[in-house]
Amino acid sequence: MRKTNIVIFSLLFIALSSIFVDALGYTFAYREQEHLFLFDTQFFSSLVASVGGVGEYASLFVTQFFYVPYLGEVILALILSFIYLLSSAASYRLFKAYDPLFLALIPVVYLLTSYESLSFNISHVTSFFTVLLSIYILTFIKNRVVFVVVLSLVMALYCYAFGWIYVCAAATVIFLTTLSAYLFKSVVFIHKKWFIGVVLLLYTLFASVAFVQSYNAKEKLMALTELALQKGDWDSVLAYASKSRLNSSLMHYYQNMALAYSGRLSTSLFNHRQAVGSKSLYVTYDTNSSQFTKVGHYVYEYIGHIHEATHWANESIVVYGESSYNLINLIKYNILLGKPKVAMRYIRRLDKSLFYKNIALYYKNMIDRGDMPNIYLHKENNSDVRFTNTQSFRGELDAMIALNPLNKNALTYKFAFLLLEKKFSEFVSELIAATNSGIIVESDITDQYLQALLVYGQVTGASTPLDHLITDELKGRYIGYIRAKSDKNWAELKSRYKSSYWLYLDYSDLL
Amino acid sequence: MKRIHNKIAIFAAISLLFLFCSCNSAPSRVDYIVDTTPELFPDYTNTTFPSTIAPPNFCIELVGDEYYIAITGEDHVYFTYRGASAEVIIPPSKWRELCGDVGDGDFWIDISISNGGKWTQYAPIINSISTNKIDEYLAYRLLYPGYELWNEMGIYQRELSTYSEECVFSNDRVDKGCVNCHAFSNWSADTMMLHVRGKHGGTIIKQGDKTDLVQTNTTEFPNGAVYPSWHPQGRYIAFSSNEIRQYFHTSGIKPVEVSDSNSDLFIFDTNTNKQISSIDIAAKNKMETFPTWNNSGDVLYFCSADFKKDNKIEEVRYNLYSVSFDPETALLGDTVLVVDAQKLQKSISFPRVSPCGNYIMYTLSDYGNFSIWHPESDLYLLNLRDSTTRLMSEVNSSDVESYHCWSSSGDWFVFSSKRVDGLWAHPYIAAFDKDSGVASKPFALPQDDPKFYKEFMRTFNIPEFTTTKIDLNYKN
Repeated sequence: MRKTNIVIFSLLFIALSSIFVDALGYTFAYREQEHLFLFDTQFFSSLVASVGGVGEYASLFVTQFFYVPYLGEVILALILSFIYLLSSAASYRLFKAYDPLFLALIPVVYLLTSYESLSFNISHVTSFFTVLLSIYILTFIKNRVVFVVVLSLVMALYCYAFGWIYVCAAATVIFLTTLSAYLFKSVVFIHKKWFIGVVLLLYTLFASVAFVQSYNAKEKLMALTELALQKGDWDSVLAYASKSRLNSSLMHYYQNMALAYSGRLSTSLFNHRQAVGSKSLYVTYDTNSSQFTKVGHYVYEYIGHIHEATHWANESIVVYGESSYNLINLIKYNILLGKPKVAMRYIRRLDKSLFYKNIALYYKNMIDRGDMPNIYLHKENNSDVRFTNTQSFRGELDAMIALNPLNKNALTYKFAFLLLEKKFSEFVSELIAATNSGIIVESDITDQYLQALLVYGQVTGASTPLDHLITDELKGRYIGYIRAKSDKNWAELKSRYKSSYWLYLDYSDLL
Repeated sequence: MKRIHNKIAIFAAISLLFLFCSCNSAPSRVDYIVDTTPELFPDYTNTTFPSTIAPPNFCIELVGDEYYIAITGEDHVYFTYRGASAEVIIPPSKWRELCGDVGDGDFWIDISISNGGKWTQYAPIINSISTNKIDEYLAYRLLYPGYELWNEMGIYQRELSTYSEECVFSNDRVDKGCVNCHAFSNWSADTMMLHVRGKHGGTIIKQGDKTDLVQTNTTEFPNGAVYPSWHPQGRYIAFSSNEIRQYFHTSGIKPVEVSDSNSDLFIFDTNTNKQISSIDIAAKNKMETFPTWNNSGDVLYFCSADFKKDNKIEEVRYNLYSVSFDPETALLGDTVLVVDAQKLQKSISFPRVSPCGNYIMYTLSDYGNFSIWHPESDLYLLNLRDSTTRLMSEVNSSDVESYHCWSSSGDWFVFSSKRVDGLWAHPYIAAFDKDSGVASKPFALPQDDPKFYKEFMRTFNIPEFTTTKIDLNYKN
């Protein structure tokens, strides 16, 4: 039976590792981004001071290894596998009998299926594991009285350190395993191997069903998109966004951020679904969805509104804590805003982690430079007091452009905003003004801008100095579009004009 | 055999003693002598410590291979340290001995630093000890320096003679609601209050063994109680009722602006749970805030700005006013302008009357009343004997100095300052000479870890001295 347990442990480890590497691989990177373990006495003391704090500390310690692909997956698979082995082994050491029903597999299956949800706290796994490990180690005390006294003391301590629930759960698992072993002790299995095989098969079936039922494809897609966004892997963001058919403003926001950061906002805005209009270009503070808090800084960083990006990054660190992601954002912004001492405090924090020391060093070296690659900040002193109007994104775009008319990112964003708002007249006048002042040249005027220019001419009958850019081919396409529209030829509209501004203008409700 | 064991033990003891002595012995020679003092963090140079404060551990802000430090009195070396670390941890017993011996006198910190085998001896740092009594506890709120949102926060209490800190009230108890504005009557934790915002909101008022949760928002004061000041006799609490708004700067050095769109004052009678107010402290054309009593409780000082519907935040400036109050009849008198800050294009916040009654310390900034976000805000002192006011340059820095509190004796005061990096506020304490009205150079509240103020990620809010330990005994 001991061999059987070792075999089950090994199989379990292989199965869990495979699942973690494949189906749940994204959860490791995601969780790692959410937390940061620091080798710091203040960090330790702040966590362990509360009930269950040691468990939380242990879980963060384990989570830091999720930074290295495979390492975290192997560690968690080992911990979960050991939960089975330790339960069985502790039970055997206490009562000298093995459980033929392998009840110790139940908590493993439960923890695995719970782990699928990104909101699951790893401390449930690490705390449960630590309690079981301690019980197992204590079973080596041969004197029963000493064992009971030490076990009681340790478990009382663990009730504070990890939480009573883990002590109760561990005791329950060991008790049930022992009870099962005791009840089946006298039973003689004629086909023992077959019996074990059938029991394990049942567990596998049960685990598979539970796993599939708990699998949240939408959550996975969102997490993958977020991770790709953080890495700056814009093509992946766009690929994930196109997979999502939800009218989620957050997913649309991610998509448009990828377009903006990859320089495709002026060319490919309508190559992608724009089902939520201009709201997909920014986020507003929403108490019901704190997820927005974490990503609100992207747009403001892009348009050079570093004060507002800092605002969002600060809110995010308050809500989500000191993740590497939040710390890095605040380091970047404070360096840009000329607050090196504030940036240094965040750098020192990052420097206390195991895997972000190099990044901390990189930003430490950047402090003297006072700027950041790929982030624009208009540094001209302006003594006028102006406050950000978080309710009017348009106003903020205007303010950024007024602060520096050469802020091309803000201008591109404003054009996208006007197009998505269907304010093509305003768009055209802004486009003409920008061209006249030389901020953009004619070669910057993309096909989607010309489509808006063409509509403007058709609707208002007015001509513009940029009309010469409209080609006959574009005019021909527009005529074709109008014909298909009047014929209500939806198939043609969708196939030939899917990526046109005209389709968005007329049928955005149906997108 | 036993003899051999004894010899080994004696030899080991002597070796250890020798090792210990050599570890802390002064360098055998000094290669250079300079007449400047090395920079310390926190800046514990030329300052005055109360004799009951915890040891002021510090870091030497100069790079070296080895450091030698000796802390000495007139004729006694209390503590020496020699080692590679620039962090100096003073044993509490040695510090107590020093404080006890020095009394109201000076002590010296001698520092030598070795680089590449060459020792440089720096000019001694001179600090003083004062036996003037400082209160035993300091209460403050700790939270992450966020903008709009918060997560974890709590009111904490620090024993000043040790590093012991206790949480008095954590917002875990109220579903992460905001807890703020802890205030005490006569520095006593037996009569205190704090606000809880959110679902379980209200004002927790403790008077002796009785602790109640009181609702203070009424139709007349829909914003409820905000900034408090306990009447010295413990019956009344003067509150401002503020409609607070937050704004975020688009550019410049300030990140956040907290401003009132309206505010009034009322006096809360804890015996009857009734609000007392009058046109003098709740005028429609004025925004009154930051009430504070004088020590006899017959004058209420407060800040007030003109109320206009189209007020521009950067043009709202508060003057300091006073109004007489009769605690027997609870009647208010006429208001008197005490300091006209508007005339100077400045704005006053947080007036606090010294226990001797001769001074009012306040914060002055360019505009508004939430000076903690204003780097230009400084502490000022109004001498009530001759009505002169002065910038307290001896305590101010180039960054924020804001909330402050006198000790019960009036010999010390504590204030919030963001001088370390401009974002995190830390408590600084300074000695105060009641006769001359001059303060000593302030020192950061000593911490066990010398790097604490560079690494601690929470900001200190509203430092308030108390003479007794807080036992809120509140069960929600």
